Amino acid sequence: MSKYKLIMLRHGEGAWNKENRFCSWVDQKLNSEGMEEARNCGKQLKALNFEFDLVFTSVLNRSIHTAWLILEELGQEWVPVESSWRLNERHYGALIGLNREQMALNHGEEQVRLWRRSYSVTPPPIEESHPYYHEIYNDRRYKVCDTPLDQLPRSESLKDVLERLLPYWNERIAPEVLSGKTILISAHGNSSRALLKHLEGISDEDIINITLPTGVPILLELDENLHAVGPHQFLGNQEAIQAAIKKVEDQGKVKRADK
Amino acid sequence: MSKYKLIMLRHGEGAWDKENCFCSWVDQKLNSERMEEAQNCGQQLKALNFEFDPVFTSILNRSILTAWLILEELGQEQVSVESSWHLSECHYGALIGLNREQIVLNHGKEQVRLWRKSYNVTPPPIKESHPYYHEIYNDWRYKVCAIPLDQLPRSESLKDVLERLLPYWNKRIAPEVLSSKTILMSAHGNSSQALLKHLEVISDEDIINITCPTGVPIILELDENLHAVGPHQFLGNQEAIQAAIKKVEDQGKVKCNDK
Repeated sequence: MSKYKLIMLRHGEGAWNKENRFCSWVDQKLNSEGMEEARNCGKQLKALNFEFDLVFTSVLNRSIHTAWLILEELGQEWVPVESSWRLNERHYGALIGLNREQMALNHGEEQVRLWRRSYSVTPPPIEESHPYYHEIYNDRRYKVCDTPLDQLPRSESLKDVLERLLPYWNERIAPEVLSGKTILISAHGNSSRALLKHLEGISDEDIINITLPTGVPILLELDENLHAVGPHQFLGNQEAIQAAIKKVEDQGKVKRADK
Repeated sequence: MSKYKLIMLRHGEGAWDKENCFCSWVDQKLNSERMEEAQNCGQQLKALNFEFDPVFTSILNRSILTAWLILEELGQEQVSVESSWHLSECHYGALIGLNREQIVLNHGKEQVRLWRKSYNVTPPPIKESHPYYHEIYNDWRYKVCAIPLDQLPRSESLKDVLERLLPYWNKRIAPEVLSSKTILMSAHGNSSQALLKHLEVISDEDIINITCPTGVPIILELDENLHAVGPHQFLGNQEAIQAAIKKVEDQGKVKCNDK
């Protein structure tokens, strides 16, 4: 029996999405399309009369700007926004910044798909020599975390994402849901997927096939134990949503001349 | 001896400032000039290497958007932003939305100056018949305040502003300052004035003559008891700041043909 509702979403495009590069913990900005996606998301939520009590985001600016744009559309800029690294996108380690197509050509579509879509396969860790290493780890936001800098991930599988997300869900977000607050989580593809896996009880094998479109509000209804009552639903025009899902799925596939 | 620093600022203009109307609790947006003012403010603070944690705003969107624009310039979007009605602009009661020049013509410069610039003279209260009454009080943000809706102000003097601001300062902001956090307060003309009066111990008579320019960071250095060590200072180009102060002071002066 549905007792609580939760809205989560995956932020819209940044510049690197268009270039098909793993953005991960690099703090890319939304591009204008991504900002537009966020505003449309806000308009949809406004049309459905959502009044949020609390918004959770990662510490990556694209998830925060998405939340801000949504709150602005709703006229709810004053709603508290809490940001945590535990909602960050999955850490893609040494693959950060690399173009997915090139990687697929070098390692094969299947290896890339495994890295992207398996539950427990971890990419190679990022090293100090990586072009984005210092940009990430020198940032103050990682010095004021609940975890010391040297213990923050250098690479993650989806399983690792859930392991670092779950304590935050249990300690910060779940109590708010249980107290009847209307929560919005503005997160990323993999952190959203990890949370859905947990709440919906999705198996390690099946999670690979779950694709979340960008900028589409995802509604999850929960029972009194915060277990999902039924599968998550995408709010909005269903045809447009299917097209958006396909767009995400197509990333990483090699474009061959013979197709 | 200076132990703590506090940065506060008054957001830039919205559309009504150009029309010389008392905006007060009406939730007007920033116009594009004032968004740029906020961005410039952010750039100044970035050049001075400020790292904020946390930021306090009112629940009026113009103070929140100002804070967001500043955080974006600083690359510090993940810093926590807390919004409270306690930092809202002075409630101008029945004068809300009225053009200052018209009020001056009807009531005289001195009465308007008293209403705007005295410490304890309260304008007439807003009534249900006022064109903006329901827009203000029907908004959900006032239903989730710590104070019941019917106990929220219907009109305020600067003294009233300080009386409702001070408990919030004592309970929420002061402890953060005392724990050596670097605080940014994005507020309004009168709420900033009220807080400066308290921290700098400015008399009821002198506070009338203190003008805060828009979009200029104001730095206040405080001792271990959170009393000001010296007067507040404006950060930035001093000539431009003086011009900005004069612009604010000129609002409300009647433009006469015989000048």
